[in-house]
This record gives sequence, C-alpha cells and structure tokens, in this order.
Amino acid sequence: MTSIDLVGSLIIGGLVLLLILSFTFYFMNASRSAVIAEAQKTTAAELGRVIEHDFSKMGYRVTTGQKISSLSDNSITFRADLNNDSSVDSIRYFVQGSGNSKKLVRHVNDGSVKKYSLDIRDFSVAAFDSIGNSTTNPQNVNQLQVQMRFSKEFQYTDRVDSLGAYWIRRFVPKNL
Amino acid sequence: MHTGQMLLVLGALVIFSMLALSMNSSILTSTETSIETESIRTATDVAQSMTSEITSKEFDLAVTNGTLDDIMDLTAPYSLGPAWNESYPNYNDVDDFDDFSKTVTTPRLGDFTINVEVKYVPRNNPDQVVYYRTKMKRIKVVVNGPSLENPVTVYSWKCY
Repeated sequence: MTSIDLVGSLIIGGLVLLLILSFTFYFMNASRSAVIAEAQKTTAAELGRVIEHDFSKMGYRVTTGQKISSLSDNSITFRADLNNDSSVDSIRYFVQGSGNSKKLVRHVNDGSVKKYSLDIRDFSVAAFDSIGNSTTNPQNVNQLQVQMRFSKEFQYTDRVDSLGAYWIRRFVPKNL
Repeated sequence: MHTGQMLLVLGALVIFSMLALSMNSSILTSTETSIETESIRTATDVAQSMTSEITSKEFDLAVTNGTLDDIMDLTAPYSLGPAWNESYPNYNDVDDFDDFSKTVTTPRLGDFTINVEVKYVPRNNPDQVVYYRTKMKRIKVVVNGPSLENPVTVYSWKCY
C-alpha cells in the first residue's frame, strides 16, 4: 500500500464518517422536534376539551347575579354549576406573564380553589351579542369565540422552527 | 490505488448517496405530512366555528318573529341568501349564509377561505338538496387553505 492509498482512504473514510455523524444529528433533531410538535398539539386538544366543557356550561343553574362577571381580550370570569352539585361555581381564565413566557391559568372556585396553568403563546376571547356584533358588555354576550396558540421555538443548526398548534372555537352557551 | 479498489470505493459512495437521498426524501415527506395534519386540524376548527355561528341563528326569516303557520311562508328555495337590508354579521336566519364566503387569518398557517352553502333538504334524505320548501336545511361549510390537498367540508343541519 502506497502513501497515496493511505491518504486517499483516510479522506474518503473521514467524509463517510462526517456524513454519518451529520445524519445522526439530523435524525435526532427531527425526532425531538416531532415529539415537541406532538406534545403541543396534544396540549391544545386536551385544553380545548376542558374549555369546551366549561364554556358550554356557562350560566348553568345561575339564577341570581351576573353569569359573566368580567370580560376582556384575554380573560373571562363566569359562573356555572360545573360539577352538578346545585351550587354555583366561579371559573376564571386569564393570561399571566408576557412575551414568550405566558401562561394560561384556569382558576375554579367550587368550594375549594383549583388552579392550573399551561404555557401558551396567545389566548383571546371575543364576545358577540345576539345579532352577531362584537361586544364587551358581559350582560349582552350571546356567543363567544376563543382562540389559543401554542408555540415553542426549536433551534436547528441552520434555522429556528416554530412548533405548535392553533385552536379556535365558537360557543353559543344555552344558558346565557 | 488499483482500478478494482477505486471501483469498490466509487460503488460504496454511490450506494451511500442513494441512501442519503432516500433518507432526505423520507424526512421531507414526514414534514409535509405534519404540516398537512396541522392544516386539516385548523381547517376543521375554523369550519366548526363557522357552523356554530350559523346554527345559532333562527331556521328562517318567517320564524324569527313567531311560529310558522304555513310552509309556504318560508323563504323560497331560489331566494336563499341575505335580504337587501341584511349584512354580515347581522344575519338573523341560517339561509342568510347561503353563498357566503369569508377569509379567516390564522397565526400559524395563514389564510383559510370559508365557503358556505345552505339548501333545503327533505327530512327522510338529508343529503339530497331539493328546490322546494321543507322544514330542514343543510349547511355545508367548505374550508380551503394552505397545505391542504383537499378542502375540508363540514355538514350540519337545522330543523324547524
């Protein structure tokens, strides 16, 4: 074997090794980003289910007082008998924090206080009256549209991907 | 390096290149599938929101102020759609949304276009559009958007 053979095989071997390494890194990143994206989508779907349950019961068994106590672009407080125990519970959704570290908080007072929060990029509530006009007066609310955006930045070597999910739903609670 | 060895090395490189190409193609396919799945999910959400908005309205203009005495009081099949003095979002009955379209901008995937069709259908065959008055209307919401191979269609029905 001459020295040119040795050098040649070293170069080719090095190239092959580099290719294998870059493939391994690429697949590791692709797999991690797929897991993160799936987690974001699952979070959106599960939280969406909780919101659907709460919002469709809005005003249920509330005979006195306001059914929606407060309303803004990214928060809402309403009353409903969530757990069918004939006592009216208070439910509040609001956003804590700012920028990329926002959390959506669900605060339920049904005798005992239950509170949990989740990372979120955007949460918005829009209210409409019975003829479809936008309103901010809780007493005129007939329909609500809730939007959520979940997003997590994922850093590749050459770019940044935004992994996440978007959820939108319009509610027409029967008891408003 | 002998010719035989060179050929072996070249053969190995060709095989490796083919492997690399097929791996790249599989990564690309999986990324496309992921985006399409998100697009279908978002389009379905958008369609459901539109459907909820439409079904919250009354069955027909004739029943917005009371009960229906005669079926002929219902809107004529060829006159479905908003009246001259009605404009979105101030529609009062479901058939005002016939031939309605709007664009919804989503923060992750861009614009989705919604097209709505509202038609009379018989109760015993709710998938068949008819051009006479019945007490059932079918609401068809078609959503088209980026990365969607086929539009998402959601049907719902409103009865009197």
